[in-house]
Amino acid sequence: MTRPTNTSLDGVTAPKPSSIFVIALAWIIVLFPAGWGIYLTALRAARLFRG
Amino acid sequence: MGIASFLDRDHTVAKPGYSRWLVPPAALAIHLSIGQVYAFSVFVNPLLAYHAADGSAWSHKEVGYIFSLAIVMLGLSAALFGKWLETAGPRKAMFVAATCFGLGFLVASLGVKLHSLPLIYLGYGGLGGIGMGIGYISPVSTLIKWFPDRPGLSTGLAIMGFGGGAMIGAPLATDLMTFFRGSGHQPIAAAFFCMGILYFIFMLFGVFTIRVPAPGWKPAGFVPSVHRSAMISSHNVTVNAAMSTPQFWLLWIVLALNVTAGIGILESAAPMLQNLFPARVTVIAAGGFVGILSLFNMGGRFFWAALSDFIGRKVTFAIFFTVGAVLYFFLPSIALLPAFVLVAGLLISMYGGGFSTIPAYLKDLFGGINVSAIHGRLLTAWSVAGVVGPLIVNALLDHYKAAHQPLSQAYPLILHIMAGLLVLGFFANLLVRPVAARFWMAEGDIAPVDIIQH
Repeated sequence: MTRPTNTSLDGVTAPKPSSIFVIALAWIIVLFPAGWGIYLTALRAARLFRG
Repeated sequence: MGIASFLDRDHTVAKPGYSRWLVPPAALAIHLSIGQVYAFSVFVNPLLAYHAADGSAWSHKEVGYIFSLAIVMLGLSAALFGKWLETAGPRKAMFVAATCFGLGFLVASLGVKLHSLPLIYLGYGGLGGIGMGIGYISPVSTLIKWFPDRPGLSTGLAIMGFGGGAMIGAPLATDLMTFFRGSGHQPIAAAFFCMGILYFIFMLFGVFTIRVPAPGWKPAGFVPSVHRSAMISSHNVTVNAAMSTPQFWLLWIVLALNVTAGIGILESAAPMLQNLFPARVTVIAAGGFVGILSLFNMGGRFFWAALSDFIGRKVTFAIFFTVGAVLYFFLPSIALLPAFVLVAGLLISMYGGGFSTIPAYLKDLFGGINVSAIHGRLLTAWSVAGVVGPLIVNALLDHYKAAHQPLSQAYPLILHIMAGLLVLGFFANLLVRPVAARFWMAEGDIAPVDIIQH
């Protein structure tokens, strides 16, 4: 497997796209606390049907 | 590069290759933080129980003003600073929002320590409220510029964070106060202090990540439709011109009525359920109902705004006002608890959906360049509805209490009034037409950096 490069065949530097890892990390940073909050709220919501 | 220039709009322009999918997390970092305001109620009882050295304590009314002041300042600062935000750029606005919001907690912490209510008002209500207002509108126009193909989805993602902020803020505050109890520190002051620092750091993530698209940027393969709806303008309108259009005031009424109706149910969700299902619902179970409504509120913000990209904003609001009015009308007669919860949840999803769909509606009518500023002015409808909604509910409940009539008889009337408000909203939405050409900005009035695909 070849490593992705940001240099095209004609030698002109092509823009380097944001890596999937960076995008995933950004989403994890914000969704982790949100997920914690949703989990706790879902537990609280379940009380309604437990009586 | 100094901190001032780092925050400048010019230094925020994305380099080629920057993924637009990094922008929603930046916006979410801001909205998940400032959405904490809806969890402020967890501080109410601890503040009421907290006595000064001389034994004095605060009343329910005095403590209640902290939240009210924060919401009023949110609406006012969004209206006042929206125009500044368009020139300063999202990074500077987010930084100011993070500083005000974080500092607000620190000042409020000092206020609790000194048992000084004015300091808490100044901190959480004043500084915090300004941080919330600027933070709320700061990512909106940037998201719309990055997602010209899906403006509803992008703003829905961010504003969903505001709905979810309380889900983080409530357990965080409770856990912090529990942690500091018996540690020698005043638990509320210590919790405020830690939350100020934590939220500031979390919001800085948004400050560092946010970028505006380069002039002329558009998503790969995106071709603006030539057969666009008459309700989607390709022209821009200044904030002052927008305020002199009937469309602005119709949308103001649309938002105000949708929010008033939603607040009517949110405000009294737990006692309403206990009164309507007295034999079956305990206090703890009613708390679970509030949790379910929070999840629907958050989910609705994303779902309805994303759906509006396909069916149009006017149709989306028409659904809120027709389906919503019918559901509000029949809600009190639903005897089956799961069906009642589902219908109430659906209604709250439409309340949240109104908040997240309105920025895209504004963008369609007034163009994308000044959408944050126009959105900021429109949020005054929220401040008004935040007062009117609870006022209607509480006045009716007080009336029934004074007449010694069961409160279970008051709720059907309250919900029928909310249905009536939604019918009025339907007609306001129906009257919305494309903005007349005389309000459009001239091409020469648009700064080169703003000439992007809207």
